[in-house]
Amino acid sequence: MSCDSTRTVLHGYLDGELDATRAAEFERHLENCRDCAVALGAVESLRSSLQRSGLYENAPVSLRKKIRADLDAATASPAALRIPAWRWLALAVALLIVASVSWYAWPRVQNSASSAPFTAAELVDAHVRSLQPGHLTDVASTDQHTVKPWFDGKLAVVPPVKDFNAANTSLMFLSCLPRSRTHQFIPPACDRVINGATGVARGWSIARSRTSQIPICTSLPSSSISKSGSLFWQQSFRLCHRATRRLLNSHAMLEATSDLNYRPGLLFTYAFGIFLA
Amino acid sequence: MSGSDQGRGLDVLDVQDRARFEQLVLPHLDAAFNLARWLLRNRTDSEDVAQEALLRACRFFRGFHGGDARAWLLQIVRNTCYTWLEKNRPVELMSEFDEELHQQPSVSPETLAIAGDNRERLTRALETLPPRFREVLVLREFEGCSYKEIAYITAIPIGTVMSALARARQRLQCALTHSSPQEASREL
Repeated sequence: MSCDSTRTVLHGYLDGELDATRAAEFERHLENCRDCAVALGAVESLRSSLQRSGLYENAPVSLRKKIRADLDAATASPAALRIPAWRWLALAVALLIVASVSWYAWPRVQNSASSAPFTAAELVDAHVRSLQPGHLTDVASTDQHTVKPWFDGKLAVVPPVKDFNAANTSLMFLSCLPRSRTHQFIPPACDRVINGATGVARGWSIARSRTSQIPICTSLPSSSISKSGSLFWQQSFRLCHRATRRLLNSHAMLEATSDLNYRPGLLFTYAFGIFLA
Repeated sequence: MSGSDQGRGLDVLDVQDRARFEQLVLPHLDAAFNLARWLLRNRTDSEDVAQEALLRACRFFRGFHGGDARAWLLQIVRNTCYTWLEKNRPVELMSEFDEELHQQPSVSPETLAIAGDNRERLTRALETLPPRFREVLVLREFEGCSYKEIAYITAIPIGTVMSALARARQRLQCALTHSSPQEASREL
């Protein structure tokens, strides 16, 4: 073994990385070679210096904290995000149920809302408005050429206007009808639409008609004697007022039932969907 | 740092992996930091790079199927350090690993012992070595890694670990005794 090669091998010897044969070979060389013995001693001394030096640097506390925070960030979220496949399936089924029930039920809710004649609040508003001073008699005329243009600018559909004094006159108590919905409430049989009498009125009564799917409030033709004068009109208006209140009650009930028929069902479906999800 | 941001939300650990990571990898954080510190010669940079390396380890942890966790982590730390050095201090990596050493006269163990007892000088000597010498010395003398582990961590063939160490130690001896001859002689 030459010194050149042992200069490398002595490191393996020192580090305990030589197999037994090579270690024994090196030891034999060492006995006869002072240079190599000195070199080995130098390397040993260097190694012990390094190990005694305390140059090993431990990780600072700040680094440990940062790594803990990193680990928390890397671990916390996925636990919540990782959803087993069956849960996705359940979610899809729930969405499907909700969508189909909504698709089935929503038009009914819509229909029930639009088929309800008007809300109680609307009816009251319209009625109260008609009772304001100056609104009691909006058109003081029985002439259809005066009355009809007046309606023209205010209603979506202009009702037929006939001579008020003609026989078999039907009256419609239009003041109770919200303007926006008026077009729904003009019954074909209605001959006359007034808000406040123009002089003559008959006995008022209000009924709800379901003919042609339109609930209306109208005054039915009365067989009672026509009478002139505002006093009579005022009395009939009071009658009308009471009748309106009855009508309001019945409408309020109608609305409540029509909506409630579907809403609990829908609510239940949504709740079921959320529960599944 | 950008590396830590990339690590978030990507290939994250589940609860079991996290527990395994803490059990297998985190105990070697000191080793990781120490290697980074000696490769980068700067505590602040080492802290950043060690953090990034740990995040990488976190990301690659599913690919670690048992074995030597310390060597696995140190390999990641070493690669992260070299990537950082290439980016920030490319000049340091220019020094040739296989640089021919001029045959130097044997240094007496006593001289070395005295020089080595000076902590600052030892630190300076170690830091003047090229990174590839420094890393084998740190792994062998500070970490007590076997040649096999050193080969794995530094990606050099196992047959050349011994000669790499031989050259590194020789360089360190040189640096210790010749860097400041007047200082050495004064002490002697």
